[in-house]
Amino acid sequence: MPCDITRVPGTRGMLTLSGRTSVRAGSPQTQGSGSGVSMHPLSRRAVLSAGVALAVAACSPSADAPPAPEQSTPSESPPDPDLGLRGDVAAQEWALVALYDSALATPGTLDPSLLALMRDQHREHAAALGSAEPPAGAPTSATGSSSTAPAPGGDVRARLIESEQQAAGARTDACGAARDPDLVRLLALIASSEASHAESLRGTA
Amino acid sequence: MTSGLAAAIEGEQAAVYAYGLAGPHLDETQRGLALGALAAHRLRVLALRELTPDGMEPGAPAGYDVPPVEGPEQARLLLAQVESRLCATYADLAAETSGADRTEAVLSARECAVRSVAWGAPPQAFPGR
Repeated sequence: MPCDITRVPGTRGMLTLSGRTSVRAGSPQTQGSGSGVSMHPLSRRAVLSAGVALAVAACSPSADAPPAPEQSTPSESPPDPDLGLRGDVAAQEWALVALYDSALATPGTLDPSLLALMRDQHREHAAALGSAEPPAGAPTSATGSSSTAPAPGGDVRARLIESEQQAAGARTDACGAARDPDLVRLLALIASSEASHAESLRGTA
Repeated sequence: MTSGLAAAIEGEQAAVYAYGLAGPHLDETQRGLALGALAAHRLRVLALRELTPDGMEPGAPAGYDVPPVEGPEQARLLLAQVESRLCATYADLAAETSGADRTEAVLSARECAVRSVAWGAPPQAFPGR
């Protein structure tokens, strides 16, 4: 198994799995130097690091690799069997960007910085799918059709939540159809991001 | 057994541990949320073991060496981080499975991302990456 569950220094980790029975939380004796186990002045950071380290123990196979959302590779190699899927999902991402632009243009109670953050994340999704710019003819905030313009007030939130949930479901379906494992991974992360957007919007009620 | 499956089981075990660590520091409402999440993680461990060939399950680790959690804010941060990283682990599992197993992995990833945000993390474009 490639996972090094006892990895200690060198990674960001400071979490060690003990070979013995339970280790007292925070016990420093298992660590090399510089592990940052001390909690006192940097407690918040240390806890964050602990979370990272605990997750390192989860040893995601790609934990050592950068996020690597898929880079678009201009095709000079074999035809991409997922080409149509990528294009469809990217177009849907740009529609979500337009929806957030409309929401941002509508005075309301939603936190504009949160809306902008999530809009920009949809842009990142599209870019990772190989679409750095909105497709020609796609709705923008200026030209969005009335069907994409959210109604004012609380309906904006409801509309965004519904759209994010639908998007997460569509990405989940797309995962089932994708052939390239890297695309499957990417779509799973996008589905997760969009499900978490819906949760964030619910939390701002 | 695939590396993704082993990683998911180990990640779930780590999450169960983290909830045990954080739980006592949460207020009553948050503890209810934590108990629900803990139950979900335990069920996922069982479901993942169903996919594992006999005798190939990774054993439960004896323990983790983590800094003590001091207070509710640190507890939430720990849980948000663990959930976020487990989301990425499930995305990896989705990439190496197919059919219903892949769908389950994606749904698991989504649940983790939602819980991470529920614990206070900002939404991410690629959770856990």
